[in-house]
Amino acid sequence: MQLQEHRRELEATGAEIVALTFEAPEHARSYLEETGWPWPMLMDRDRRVYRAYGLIQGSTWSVLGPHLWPGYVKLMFSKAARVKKPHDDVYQLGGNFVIDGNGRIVLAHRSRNPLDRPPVEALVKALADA
Amino acid sequence: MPERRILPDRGDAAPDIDLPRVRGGRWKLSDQRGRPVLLVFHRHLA
Repeated sequence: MQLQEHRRELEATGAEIVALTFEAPEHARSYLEETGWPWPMLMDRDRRVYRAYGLIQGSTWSVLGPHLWPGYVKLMFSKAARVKKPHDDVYQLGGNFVIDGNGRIVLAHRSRNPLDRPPVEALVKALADA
Repeated sequence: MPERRILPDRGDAAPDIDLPRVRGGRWKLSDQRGRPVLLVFHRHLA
Protein backbone atom coordinates (compact mmCIF):
# COMPACT_ATOMS: atom_id res chain seq x y z
CA MET A 1 0.00 0.00 0.00
CA GLN A 2 1.61 3.23 -1.11
CA LEU A 3 -0.41 5.95 0.55
CA GLN A 4 1.70 8.68 -1.01
CA GLU A 5 0.26 7.73 -4.41
CA HIS A 6 -3.17 8.68 -3.04
CA ARG A 7 -2.05 11.86 -1.32
CA ARG A 8 -4.58 14.11 -3.05
CA GLU A 9 -7.58 11.91 -2.15
CA LEU A 10 -6.41 11.44 1.41
CA GLU A 11 -5.70 15.11 2.06
CA ALA A 12 -9.01 16.11 0.44
CA THR A 13 -10.74 14.51 3.44
CA GLY A 14 -9.14 17.12 5.71
CA ALA A 15 -7.55 14.38 7.77
CA GLU A 16 -4.38 14.46 9.80
CA ILE A 17 -2.24 11.58 8.61
CA VAL A 18 0.57 10.23 10.76
CA ALA A 19 2.81 7.18 10.70
CA LEU A 20 4.25 5.46 13.75
CA THR A 21 7.43 3.47 13.97
CA PHE A 22 9.25 1.62 16.72
CA GLU A 23 12.62 1.82 15.00
CA ALA A 24 15.58 4.01 15.93
CA PRO A 25 15.50 7.69 14.93
CA GLU A 26 18.33 7.33 12.40
CA HIS A 27 16.47 4.57 10.58
CA ALA A 28 13.24 6.54 10.66
CA ARG A 29 14.98 9.63 9.25
CA SER A 30 16.55 7.54 6.51
CA TYR A 31 13.15 6.08 5.67
CA LEU A 32 11.59 9.54 5.43
CA GLU A 33 14.35 10.77 3.13
CA GLU A 34 14.25 7.73 0.87
CA THR A 35 10.49 7.41 0.54
CA GLY A 36 9.46 11.04 0.62
CA TRP A 37 6.78 10.26 3.21
CA PRO A 38 5.00 13.63 3.31
CA TRP A 39 3.29 13.42 6.69
CA PRO A 40 4.55 13.31 10.28
CA MET A 41 6.18 10.17 11.60
CA LEU A 42 6.12 9.44 15.32
CA MET A 43 8.58 7.35 17.30
CA ASP A 44 7.23 4.74 19.70
CA ARG A 45 10.46 3.01 20.68
CA ASP A 46 8.99 1.01 23.56
CA ARG A 47 5.85 0.17 21.52
CA ARG A 48 3.59 1.44 24.27
CA VAL A 49 1.15 2.85 21.70
CA TYR A 50 1.40 -0.26 19.53
CA ARG A 51 0.32 -2.29 22.55
CA ALA A 52 -2.45 0.16 23.45
CA TYR A 53 -3.91 -0.36 19.97
CA GLY A 54 -3.56 -4.11 20.22
CA LEU A 55 -0.80 -4.53 17.67
CA ILE A 56 1.16 -7.65 18.39
CA GLN A 57 4.06 -9.68 17.09
CA GLY A 58 3.07 -12.25 14.50
CA SER A 59 4.08 -15.89 14.57
CA THR A 60 6.85 -17.22 12.35
CA TRP A 61 4.16 -18.72 10.12
CA SER A 62 2.22 -15.48 9.84
CA VAL A 63 5.33 -13.47 8.96
CA LEU A 64 7.51 -15.88 7.00
CA GLY A 65 5.12 -18.61 5.87
CA PRO A 66 5.33 -19.81 2.26
CA HIS A 67 1.80 -18.57 1.58
CA LEU A 68 3.32 -15.06 1.66
CA TRP A 69 6.28 -15.71 -0.64
CA PRO A 70 4.46 -14.77 -3.88
CA GLY A 71 3.44 -11.49 -2.29
CA TYR A 72 7.00 -10.79 -1.14
CA VAL A 73 8.37 -11.53 -4.62
CA LYS A 74 5.79 -9.22 -6.17
CA LEU A 75 6.74 -6.52 -3.68
CA MET A 76 10.45 -6.92 -4.41
CA PHE A 77 9.84 -6.27 -8.09
CA SER A 78 7.40 -3.42 -7.59
CA LYS A 79 8.44 0.17 -8.12
CA ALA A 80 8.03 0.70 -4.39
CA ALA A 81 10.61 -1.94 -3.54
CA ARG A 82 13.07 -1.02 -0.81
CA VAL A 83 14.62 -4.34 0.03
CA LYS A 84 17.07 -3.90 2.88
CA LYS A 85 18.26 -5.83 5.85
CA PRO A 86 15.77 -5.27 8.67
CA HIS A 87 17.05 -3.16 11.56
CA ASP A 88 14.57 -4.30 14.13
CA ASP A 89 11.86 -6.77 15.03
CA VAL A 90 10.50 -8.34 11.82
CA TYR A 91 7.71 -10.03 13.77
CA GLN A 92 6.00 -6.84 14.93
CA LEU A 93 2.85 -6.35 12.89
CA GLY A 94 1.39 -3.02 11.81
CA GLY A 95 -2.08 -1.69 11.34
CA ASN A 96 -4.26 1.22 10.32
CA PHE A 97 -6.79 3.13 12.40
CA VAL A 98 -9.14 5.94 11.49
CA ILE A 99 -10.23 8.19 14.35
CA ASP A 100 -13.12 10.62 13.98
CA GLY A 101 -13.18 14.21 15.17
CA ASN A 102 -14.61 13.13 18.52
CA GLY A 103 -11.77 10.73 19.23
CA ARG A 104 -13.71 7.56 18.38
CA ILE A 105 -12.31 4.73 16.31
CA VAL A 106 -14.25 4.34 13.07
CA LEU A 107 -11.91 1.88 11.33
CA ALA A 108 -9.58 -0.60 13.01
CA HIS A 109 -7.37 -2.83 10.90
CA ARG A 110 -4.75 -4.95 12.64
CA SER A 111 -2.53 -6.62 10.07
CA ARG A 112 -2.64 -10.42 10.22
CA ASN A 113 0.62 -10.62 8.25
CA PRO A 114 3.14 -8.12 6.81
CA LEU A 115 1.23 -7.81 3.53
CA ASP A 116 -2.18 -7.30 5.08
CA ARG A 117 -3.31 -3.68 4.79
CA PRO A 118 -6.76 -2.24 4.13
CA PRO A 119 -7.53 -0.91 0.65
CA VAL A 120 -6.81 2.80 0.31
CA GLU A 121 -10.40 3.27 -0.87
CA ALA A 122 -11.65 2.01 2.51
CA LEU A 123 -9.37 4.44 4.33
CA VAL A 124 -10.49 7.39 2.20
CA LYS A 125 -14.16 6.51 2.73
CA ALA A 126 -13.72 6.13 6.48
CA LEU A 127 -11.93 9.48 6.68
CA ALA A 128 -14.53 11.20 4.53
CA ASP A 129 -17.36 9.81 6.69
CA ALA A 130 -15.60 10.52 10.00
CA MET B 1 -8.59 -18.97 33.06
CA PRO B 2 -6.26 -16.47 31.33
CA GLU B 3 -7.37 -12.87 31.24
CA ARG B 4 -8.68 -11.88 27.84
CA ARG B 5 -7.48 -8.44 26.81
CA ILE B 6 -10.11 -6.19 25.32
CA LEU B 7 -8.72 -4.39 22.30
CA PRO B 8 -9.94 -0.97 21.24
CA ASP B 9 -12.23 -1.40 18.28
CA ARG B 10 -14.70 0.47 16.12
CA GLY B 11 -16.87 2.74 18.25
CA ASP B 12 -14.43 2.83 21.16
CA ALA B 13 -12.53 5.88 22.34
CA ALA B 14 -9.09 5.88 20.74
CA PRO B 15 -6.24 5.47 23.23
CA ASP B 16 -4.44 8.78 23.51
CA ILE B 17 -1.09 9.24 21.85
CA ASP B 18 1.67 11.61 22.94
CA LEU B 19 4.88 10.83 21.08
CA PRO B 20 7.94 12.61 19.67
CA ARG B 21 8.06 13.32 15.97
CA VAL B 22 11.04 12.06 13.99
CA ARG B 23 11.64 15.60 12.72
CA GLY B 24 11.26 17.26 16.11
CA GLY B 25 8.49 18.32 18.46
CA ARG B 26 5.71 16.22 19.90
CA TRP B 27 2.40 15.04 18.51
CA LYS B 28 -0.73 14.44 20.57
CA LEU B 29 -3.88 12.76 19.36
CA SER B 30 -5.94 14.89 21.73
CA ASP B 31 -4.75 18.01 19.87
CA GLN B 32 -6.45 16.76 16.72
CA ARG B 33 -10.04 16.91 18.01
CA GLY B 34 -12.44 18.14 15.34
CA ARG B 35 -10.71 16.50 12.40
CA PRO B 36 -10.32 12.88 11.35
CA VAL B 37 -6.99 11.16 11.88
CA LEU B 38 -5.39 8.28 10.01
CA LEU B 39 -2.85 6.33 12.04
CA VAL B 40 -0.45 4.17 10.04
CA PHE B 41 1.47 1.78 12.28
CA HIS B 42 4.52 0.57 10.41
CA ARG B 43 6.16 -2.75 10.87
CA HIS B 44 9.94 -2.62 10.47
CA LEU B 45 11.18 0.03 8.04
CA ALA B 46 13.14 -2.21 5.68
